[in-house]
Amino acid sequence: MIGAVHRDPIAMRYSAFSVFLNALRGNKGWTPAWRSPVPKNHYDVIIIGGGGHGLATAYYLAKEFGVTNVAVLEKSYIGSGNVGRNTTIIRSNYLLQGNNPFYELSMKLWEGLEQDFNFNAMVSQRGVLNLYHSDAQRDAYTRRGNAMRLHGVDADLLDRNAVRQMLPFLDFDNARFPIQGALMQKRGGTVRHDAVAWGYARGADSRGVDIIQNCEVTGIRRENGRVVGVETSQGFIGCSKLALAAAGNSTTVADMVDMKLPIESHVLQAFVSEGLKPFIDNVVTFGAGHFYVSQSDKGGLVFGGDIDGYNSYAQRGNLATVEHVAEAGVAMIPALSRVRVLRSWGGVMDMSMDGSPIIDRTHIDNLYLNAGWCYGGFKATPASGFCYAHLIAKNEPHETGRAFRLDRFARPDDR
Amino acid sequence: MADFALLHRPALAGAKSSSFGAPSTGARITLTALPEGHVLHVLAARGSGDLQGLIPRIGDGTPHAVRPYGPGQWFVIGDAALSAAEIFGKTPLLDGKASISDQGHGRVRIGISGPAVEAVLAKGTAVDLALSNFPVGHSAMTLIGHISALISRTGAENFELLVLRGFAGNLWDELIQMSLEFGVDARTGK
Amino acid sequence: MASLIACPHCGPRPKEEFTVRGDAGITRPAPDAGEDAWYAYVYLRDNPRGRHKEHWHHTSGCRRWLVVERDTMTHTIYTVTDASAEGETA
Repeated sequence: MIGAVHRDPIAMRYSAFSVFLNALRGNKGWTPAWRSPVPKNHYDVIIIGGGGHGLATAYYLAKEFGVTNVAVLEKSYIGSGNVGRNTTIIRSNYLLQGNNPFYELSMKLWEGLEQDFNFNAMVSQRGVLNLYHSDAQRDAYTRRGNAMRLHGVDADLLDRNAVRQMLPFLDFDNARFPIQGALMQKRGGTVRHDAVAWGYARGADSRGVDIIQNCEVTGIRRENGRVVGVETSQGFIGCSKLALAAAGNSTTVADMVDMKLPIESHVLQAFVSEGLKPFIDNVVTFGAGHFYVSQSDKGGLVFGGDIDGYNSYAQRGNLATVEHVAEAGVAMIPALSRVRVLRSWGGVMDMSMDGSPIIDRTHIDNLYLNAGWCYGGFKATPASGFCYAHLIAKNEPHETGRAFRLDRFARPDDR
Repeated sequence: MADFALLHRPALAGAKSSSFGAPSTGARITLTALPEGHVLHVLAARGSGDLQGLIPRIGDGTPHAVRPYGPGQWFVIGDAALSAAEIFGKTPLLDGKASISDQGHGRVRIGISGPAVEAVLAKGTAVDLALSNFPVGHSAMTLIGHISALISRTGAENFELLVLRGFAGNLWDELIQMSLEFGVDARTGK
Repeated sequence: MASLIACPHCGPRPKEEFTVRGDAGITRPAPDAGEDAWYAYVYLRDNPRGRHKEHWHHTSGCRRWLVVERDTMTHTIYTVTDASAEGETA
């Protein structure tokens, strides 16, 4: 439902009826999904980074915690960063205590998201299969599946024949990596990534959040040890609380307050093929190399592999990794050797030192950090936004995000 | 006492040995599995200075027996198999400035020759193999496709490749593929 | 990443011949340097957007450790030197 701050006709409610009505009127009744406001002088909360996590944070701040005097500052346009550059996979098939409930919270939010923010994000729970190729890998996946079930998450261990029935085109008898089965999470799947950004942006905007695009933060102003606002390409903007959500470029922003992070920026590539007839019904990941693939509704195979391996802030990768990904893909699905790749692109990842993210307070009282999402940020978008909004609003971590402390590397013990 | 005798089987004993590709282009390639004699890896001690003149002392005196491939690193190769005692016997010749490790079990030599040999190898490596840049006697460790190998020029149209034993069969097959357009005679010596 | 790295020993070679290790700007602390120093060494990174010095190993070439100074945004390579010439162990 649209909240109390229904002050702008832009915040029209989308429905089958509105599509029908607009069709009759020549589709001239559609208005922009969010405003382009001039920044105010001061906000209660400024979020740096208009990616999926920043927008989700703003949305939940307004909707769940009643904090609506919020600005999201985006240096480029909404959807230009990793929220529009990933392979759209969602899943909560995690092993460890600190991770599993968090990603499962995310999955539950995904499941209700479209109704919640009144936007078609094409959430498709088509199932995620992780292939296993050896007895040892089967045992590891059994353990992971059991851990998932103990956390109340769905998990099914499939044998070779069950996988063959679903995905007959896989190379089951590959000499080096024969497929023995898969761990499947049926509730996993894909989501239209741009729609996530647009839906959260629209939902936040309709509740009073200012989304300010083409507004790059160039400095953070501090007085008496507290943040008082940010210098931007559109001038100084004051704030009571500042929240960083600039994964990929977290170091660049943290440098402005002399905060050194346990993070390196790396590039991860993704690929989409020419459109094909329906071929791959699920998300499938190779267990003997880095490769994961699904098929979009337009028919393109969307796939990716490992990070390129060196520090990079450039949203483009190199050909050796393209070759490596293609080789892994062909090892899993030989028919891919005849598929043509339409496009490839890169996104910049915050690689944290333990592969887990950070959602925490910092050494500055009113400065908060959301960073270190490695190559798993997209699936976490709703829970990240929810837990971060909780942290910012209440100055206390949300229960499910409690493990993602900034100081866990220095002090491994739980507080 | 060993429970069973170690049987030395040449790495390329079972490799393809025939003629492949274009029947005759006048630029045929010849692939040869060279004798698995000795391969000595020589590493200079820290701060031992220029040893270029010292290393040939442990070679068998044939041309191109010594193959440098980086600072303080050489392979010394030859057709004759050497016993452990013979290899140990060479160490004093280096005046304590370098050490020797026997790589005879670990690395295999492949000969490749023919008028189009540079064009064939260029498919696998980025090293400029033109005679003017890569004269006879020159060596370079590089990637050929995905396989590391030491390329040495032994003549205007002759090269030798030194490759890890486990990759020798794979490289052999790839070299045949790379040579098909010119025609190739692959000889394992069987 | 640039396609070629000019190895000081082997000349320009494709980057596929090399393996990246990481930041060459950090120095291993003394064993008794204390937890803060070790924490900083193991976990914290400058992660610059721009000029950056890294250790690269010429794995499929001369097998020497090199220090490559390059730009993490443009991929331009400025200098490549043998790591032993740096006079530091990291």
